[in-house]
Amino acid sequence: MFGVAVDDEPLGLSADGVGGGTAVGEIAGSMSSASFRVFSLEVWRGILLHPRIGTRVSKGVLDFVVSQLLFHLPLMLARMSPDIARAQGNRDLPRAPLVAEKTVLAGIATTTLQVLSATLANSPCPLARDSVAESSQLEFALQACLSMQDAAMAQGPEPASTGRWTASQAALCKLRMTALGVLEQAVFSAFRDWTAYHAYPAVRCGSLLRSPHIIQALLQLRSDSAALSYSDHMAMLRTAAAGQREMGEAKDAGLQRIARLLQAAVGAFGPALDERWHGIFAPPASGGSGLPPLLPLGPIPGIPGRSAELRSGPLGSIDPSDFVEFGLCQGTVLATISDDWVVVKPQSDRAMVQSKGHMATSHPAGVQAVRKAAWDAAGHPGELESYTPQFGAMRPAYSDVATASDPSLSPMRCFGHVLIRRVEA
Amino acid sequence: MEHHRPGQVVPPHIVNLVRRLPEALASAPASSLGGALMSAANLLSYTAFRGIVLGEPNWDAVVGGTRAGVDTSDGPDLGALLR
Repeated sequence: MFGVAVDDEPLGLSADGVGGGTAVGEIAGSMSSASFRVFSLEVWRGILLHPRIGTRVSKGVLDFVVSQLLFHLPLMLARMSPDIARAQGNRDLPRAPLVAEKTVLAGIATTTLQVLSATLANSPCPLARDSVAESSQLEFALQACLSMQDAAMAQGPEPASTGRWTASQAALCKLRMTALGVLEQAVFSAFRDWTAYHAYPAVRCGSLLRSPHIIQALLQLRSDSAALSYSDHMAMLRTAAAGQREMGEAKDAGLQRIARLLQAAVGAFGPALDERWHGIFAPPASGGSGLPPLLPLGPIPGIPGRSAELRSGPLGSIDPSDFVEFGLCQGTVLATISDDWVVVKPQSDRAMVQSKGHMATSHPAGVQAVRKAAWDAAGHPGELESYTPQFGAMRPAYSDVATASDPSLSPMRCFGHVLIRRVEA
Repeated sequence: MEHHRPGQVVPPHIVNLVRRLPEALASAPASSLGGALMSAANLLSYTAFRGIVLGEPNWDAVVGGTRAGVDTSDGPDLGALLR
C-alpha cells in the first residue's frame, strides 16, 4: 500500500503531518493530495461543530460519523508499531517501515485527534460530544497513542541524530500530548455535564479511566516524562534557550494532566463515576468553568461508600506483580499510583466486587484479630492501630467487556481494574 | 496500491464537492439529513484516510458514489444535496 520509495510527500501529506492549507502551486481550485487530506479533516471538524447539523440528527447517526473518524486511528498506529499491531490482532496489516512514513502517520493521527478535541470542547451539540466521549473506539485509540514508544519510530539504519529522527520524535510527542488532552477533555466533560444535568448519562465518559491499559499508559508516561518533553517546534528549537523553556513547559503541562487524570481515577474530584450515575451522592461543588481545580499531589481522600473487609493479603508494601486478595477481589497489582493507591487487575474468573453502594464489613473484628496475632507474633511493642480497609471498584472498561468470554455483565463482577487504597497505619 | 507521487493534485471538482459538504448538510431538510450525514462521513473517511488502509484514490468513483448516495440505504440524499 505504501510506496517503496521515499518521496517528499509520502502518503500524500506534507512532512510535518499537520501542514494544512493549500500548497504552493495549487491553482484553479485544485489541491495537492497532502493538503486535501488535511482539508478533509477540517471539513469533518466543520460538520461536527456546525450548529445546524449535529443538532438535527439522532445519536446513532452521530455515533456513525465519529466511528468513521476513529476507525483508522488505531490502524495508523498499528502500521507504525508492531507492538500495537499485535495488541490489536492486526498481524497482517502492512508496516510502514520508514521513519518519514511513520512521521506522516503520526501527523494524520494527531490531526484526527484534534478534530475530536475540538468537538469535545466546542460542539454546540451535546450528543456530538457524547458520541466522542462514549465511543468504545476512543479507548483503544487513546490507549494506543499514549503507549506508543519512541522506539516504534526507529528504522533500522536510521541514525538517531538525523533531522528525520528528531522530527519523528517530535511528531510522536505531539501525538501523545494531543491524546492526553482528548482524554482529559472526555473525562472532565463528564464531570461538567453531570454537574449541569444530574440525570445525564455521563458515567460512560469515565469509563476511560477504568481501562487498566490507559491507567498503565498514564503511569508509564509519568515515570518517563522525557516522552512529554517535545513540543510542536521542538525539532527546530531544542538547542535554543526558548526551545529548552518550551520543552519544560510542555512536560510540566503533560505531567499536570496526568496527575489530574490519576486523581480523577481514584475519585479525588468527587464521587466515583459509577455512583454519580446512580445519584447516590450530591453533585460536587464546582465553579467557573465547572471543571474541578488542580490538586497538588499528595494523600487522596477516601471514597465514601466504598469499603470492604480485608480477609487476607499483604499488610505491608505492595509492589507491581504482587498477587493480592482484598475481600472478594483477587488479582495482580499492575502499578502503584501513590503511597496510598494501587491498581489491581482482578482475576476475571474470580473477581467479584461490589461496584456501588456499601459492602458490609461483616468481619472487621475477625480481621483485626488476625492482624493483632501477626503483630504480636512479630514482637511489635504497643498497640496495633485500627484501620479501615477500602477499595474502589470500577465499572468495566469496554475493552474488557468486548473481550470477556462471559459477556453477561453483572454489577457484582468486575472486568476492569480495581483501585485499592491502603490505609494501613 | 496507492503511491502518492510528489505534487499529485486532487481535481478541483473533488475539492469543491468536499468544500460544499457542511453548508449542503446544514441546509438539508431534517428528513434526509441523517442519511446525507452518514454518506458524508463515508466520503470524508475516503478522502482523509485513503491509502492508509484503503486502496488508491479513484476520484471518478467518489463523484459517482456521491451522486448515488454513497453506501446509504436512505437514497441519494447527499448526491441530491450537492447537485
